[in-house]
Amino acid sequence: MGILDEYADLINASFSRWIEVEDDQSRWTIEDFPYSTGVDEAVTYPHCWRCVTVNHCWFKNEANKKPFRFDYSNTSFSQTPLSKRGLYHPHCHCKESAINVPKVNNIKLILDNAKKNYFFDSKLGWFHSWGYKNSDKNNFIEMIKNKIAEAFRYGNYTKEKLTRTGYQINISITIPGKNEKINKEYEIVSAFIIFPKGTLRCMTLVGGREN
Amino acid sequence: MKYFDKVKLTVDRDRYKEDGIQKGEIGTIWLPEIRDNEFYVCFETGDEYNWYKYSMIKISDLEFVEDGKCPDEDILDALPKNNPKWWCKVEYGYITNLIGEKKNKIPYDYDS
Repeated sequence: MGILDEYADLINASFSRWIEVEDDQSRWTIEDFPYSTGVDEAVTYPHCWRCVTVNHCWFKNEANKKPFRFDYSNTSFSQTPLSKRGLYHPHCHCKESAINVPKVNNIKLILDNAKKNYFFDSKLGWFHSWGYKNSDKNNFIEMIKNKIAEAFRYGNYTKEKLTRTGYQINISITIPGKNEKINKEYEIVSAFIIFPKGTLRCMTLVGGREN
Repeated sequence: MKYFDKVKLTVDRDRYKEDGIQKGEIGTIWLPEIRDNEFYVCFETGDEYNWYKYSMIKISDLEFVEDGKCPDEDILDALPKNNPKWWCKVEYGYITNLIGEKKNKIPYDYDS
């Protein structure tokens, strides 16, 4: 790829509503450590964990909805010449590539059974207070998954923090009441980690409510 | 120690304090996998709008409190790509995975 093509991509990504972070020189992603010794940052060297955790992940192209770019405003060209500047830190190979706005069915949710069970075990009172009965559990899970995918697709999320476990976000959704609460709505917050290619890994299905 | 077990933080560190967590607090192991010899632990806040706070915590800074009784099949279900080779348990001072391999050579020295 020539330098003009790179600039064209850069400009394209700047105007795109969604971007994918790509590091062409790294095979590592947050979910993919295909070796038997478990996760060890030394294995991903020279790629730092901050870049590995967001590699191939999709973000809305807005401040606080994607990783922060490194601020070079206080460095001189002698300290970090143009060729050594990276997106997230000096020498970083990451770039932001424009992608189409994802469709709801492009968003995949990882919600393990233990997390579902924990929600119903620890917050059953909330579940019942929204008018749902125990027999509604499966339908409730499907509904909330759809609402989360839809909310993410519209960019209704906020960055929580970036750790070695990944880029964590909070997603706000509205739960409709049921039965005696049929005319009510409840604003709740769910916590997720952004995984590659539009996948969201559930941290906390219901982690609080909107204030 | 494993997914959903209750654990107590035994050491204060600046980065735990940044996450609002102090020595003595009891939390729940909130992700099954061990990354860089650390578990991801969730603590209740008591705040009705934000029920939980989280932090990555070094295994050596944690004390086992209560068995969460999470079966191996649920741990496997929750591991990235359902890979049983991920380090996910601490037993008798060893970091182990679901196929019985041990990561550290010296018990309780997790970097060995």
